[in-house]
Amino acid sequence: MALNLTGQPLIDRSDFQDLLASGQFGRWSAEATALHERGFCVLNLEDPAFLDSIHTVIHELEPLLAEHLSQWEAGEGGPPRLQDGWQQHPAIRRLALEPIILDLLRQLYGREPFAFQTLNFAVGSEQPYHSDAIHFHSYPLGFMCGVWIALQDVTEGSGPLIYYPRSHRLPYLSAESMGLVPEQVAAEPHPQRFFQERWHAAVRRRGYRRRRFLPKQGEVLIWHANLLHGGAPVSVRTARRWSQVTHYFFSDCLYTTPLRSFGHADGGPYLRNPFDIATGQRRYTQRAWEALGLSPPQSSPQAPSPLK
Amino acid sequence: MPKLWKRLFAGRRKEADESAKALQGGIELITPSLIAGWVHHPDCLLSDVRLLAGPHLLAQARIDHYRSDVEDHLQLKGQFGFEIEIPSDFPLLLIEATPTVLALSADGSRRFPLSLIGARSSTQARLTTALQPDMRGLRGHFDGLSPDGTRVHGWCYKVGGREPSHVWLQGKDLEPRPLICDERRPGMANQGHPETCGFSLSLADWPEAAGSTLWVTYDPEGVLRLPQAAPVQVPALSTNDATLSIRDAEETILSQPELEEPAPPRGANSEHWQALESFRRYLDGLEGELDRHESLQLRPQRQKGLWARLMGSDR
Repeated sequence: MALNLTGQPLIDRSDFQDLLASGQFGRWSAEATALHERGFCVLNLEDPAFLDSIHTVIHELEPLLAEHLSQWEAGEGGPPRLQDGWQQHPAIRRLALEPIILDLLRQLYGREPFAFQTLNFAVGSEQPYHSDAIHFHSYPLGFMCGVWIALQDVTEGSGPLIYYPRSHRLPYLSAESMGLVPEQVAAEPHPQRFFQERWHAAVRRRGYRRRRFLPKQGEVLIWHANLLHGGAPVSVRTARRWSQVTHYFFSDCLYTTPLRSFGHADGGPYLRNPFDIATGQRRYTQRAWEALGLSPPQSSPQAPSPLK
Repeated sequence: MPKLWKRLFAGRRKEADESAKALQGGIELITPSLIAGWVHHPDCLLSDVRLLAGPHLLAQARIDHYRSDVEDHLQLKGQFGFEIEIPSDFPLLLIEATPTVLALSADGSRRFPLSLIGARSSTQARLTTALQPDMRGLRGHFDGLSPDGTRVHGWCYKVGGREPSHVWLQGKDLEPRPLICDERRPGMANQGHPETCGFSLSLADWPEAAGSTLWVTYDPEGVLRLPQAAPVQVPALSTNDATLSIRDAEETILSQPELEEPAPPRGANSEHWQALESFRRYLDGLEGELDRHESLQLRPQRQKGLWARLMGSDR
């Protein structure tokens, strides 16, 4: 396995317009333009097999999350979610590996995509808006994206997904770029808080306008690694907002957690070894990691995602 | 059958060796942030250069810089120059695989390893040093002698670094002098550099360097040099300095009670010293000129101001 630590995603390149004019993106030209300019694009997948998988996911997860949902409706506890349900539920895995989505990502980024994490929600997440690129990112930069699938029609009161078009062009942030030291990050249970004010200030200063995603079942939102997004407050606690988020990396990169990445003097970058949902294994086995000719990462290559 | 294979393989290898021998140019500069040079092959159109560590591609660039000096040297028109920028933010603690720089044909089918012009055997060591974690992101320039000739100076900093960088002033048979790059250099910010990144040393503080050729390295071992526009030759002690030294010695001697007799007048001797010193300076000048011609034969002279453009020098 050889790394390629050069280049950028095609949608981020400065010669994007030339690539577009040359037909580089084929049938996905409109989606490429949307991702390049606004940081997201929307697909409507009406394939019966895809819709079947959606129904199966809801059918399987409803009883699993029933107790948590009752607590949530009673105002106790946070919104329930299931991380990496692909390991137990083939339907979640099928959605994550939807060939049309993989084809689009391959064309738009210019490298082979692989799904590495799934999150399933039954209700609105109410997450403060953030950039995924502080939680998981790649080197070279930008080879990461999120895909949000509406497993049902989304209504206003259910806490729809919110996002800020064009915010993907903000600078990528990390603990190092924020001037944080390891002790600060280690002492904070939710280190994303260190970054929140920076994003709020950028939104105010640049006048980004908040949008809500109110899709029909089967619609898919694909967002750029750095697009600011989150969950609107839920006003109707009994309302469901079944959805699946899948995060993707691309081949031949190194994968990092910028939230825990510091300068060399403070321990260096936090390298991670993501799952490859297609194989069910970590992307790098211990042997493959050693074969890369690199020294061991700061954390074990088998270290779990810090979001777990 | 194995013999046939061996002969076939040997034939192909010989062909490849011959082809590699025809390659002209190579690497002119290796720093922790930039690898630059030029390359031309008479039988093969080269389009890209790549920096690899083992099988891993770390950086790449097009061979697309116009270099009139190379065109003159080759008596050919074309774009032969390249500059590979080494990113400062590799998320790797250590790159253990052997680094190489390759020139590739347009279709990628032919690859030629490049080495440092005039110092072929040190290429690997310099690339390895340039990729060390504590080196990555270092940028700098050795400006040479100050206009009044009393100091040597330059600048260096690490991209994203919080602490001032260190460099090592070197000279043949001299102990390296560590220098800290924390002097203010107004105008650096206009060129995208930090203002506080200068280093300098008064030559009066390093009398052993008199008459030596100096250079500056990023590392104490002296493997990786800061770029500089021209050789830096420190003048030998001038007549005035020599006279001062002699007078200092005289004072020391005179301070001893048993030698209180005044020294004889030295006017005539002083004139001889002056003449000898002028002749020595003339010889030094000739020597410097010869050095310059030798280096010109090794590689084509670059355009004026190119180093300054590459390295953001204020010279």
